Amino acid sequence: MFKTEKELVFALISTLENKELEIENVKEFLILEEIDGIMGRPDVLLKQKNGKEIITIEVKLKNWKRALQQAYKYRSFSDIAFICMDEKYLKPALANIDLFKKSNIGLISINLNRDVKIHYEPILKKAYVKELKEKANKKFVEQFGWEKEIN
Amino acid sequence: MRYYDGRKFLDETGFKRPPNPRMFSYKLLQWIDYAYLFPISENYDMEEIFDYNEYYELTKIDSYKWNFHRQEPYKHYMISFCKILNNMPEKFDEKFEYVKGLLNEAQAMNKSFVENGIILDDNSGGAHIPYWMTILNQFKKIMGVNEYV
Repeated sequence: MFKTEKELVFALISTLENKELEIENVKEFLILEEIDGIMGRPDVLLKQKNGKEIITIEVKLKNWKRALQQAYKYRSFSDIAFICMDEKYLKPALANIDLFKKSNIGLISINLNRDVKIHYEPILKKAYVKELKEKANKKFVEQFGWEKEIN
Repeated sequence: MRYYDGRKFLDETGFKRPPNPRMFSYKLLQWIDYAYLFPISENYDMEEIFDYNEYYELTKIDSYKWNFHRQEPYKHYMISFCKILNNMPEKFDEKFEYVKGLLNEAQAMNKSFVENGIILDDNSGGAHIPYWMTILNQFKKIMGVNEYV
């Protein structure tokens, strides 16, 4: 069981970097953490290196409802949104997996051994608000500074 | 009814996020973050949820720049809310039924949103409706009538 969300974020990013967690259509990506100034504060923001897709992952130890609300809101600027939870507290979220499917939000679990599993992979759909997606894109440009290649 | 939290009056340091621009829904009796307008419009007739007054029309333009400083959403709210008040009957029983009807409709619409996979956050959702219903019933009790919503 993870003690803090920060630990969980660290474990998740490690699995992404080591390719233990692979998201369909997103193979090579850039990673940002806890980004302010778009809408809310997404825990993990990914951007495909040779594509335009933006993926958000909202990390929560156990409050799946709150995480789902946040992830749904992040769909305003991301084309795919997931929540990632501690495997220990996954059961209530799994019991409501239909709600994840209806709202097209993905569900990932992870444990201390970094065993990671995608329980529902959402369909790639265009972000709801174009200007917010542009803002999200700018965050990657600010951080990595090579607009031509990341666009 | 609003709950006032004294902590909001304490000085805070660090990054402060500006509020998200929102639009008032007469059907949900709530302000809705503009980020939700697109998924709502995909599933519902917007006219059933938002008052189609002149200020709503202005926000529909593709080039409209949403920002909490913009005045159109607030003007839209004033007109929309005035319509709710203007339609309120004068007699107590009818007034009670009118407000009860509004609250029931708001609750049903929130339920319908969830059934359609539209997940609103606490600032846009219907968490306030049960509290308002309680207050309405308490008000009716005080006025000497014992029927619950």
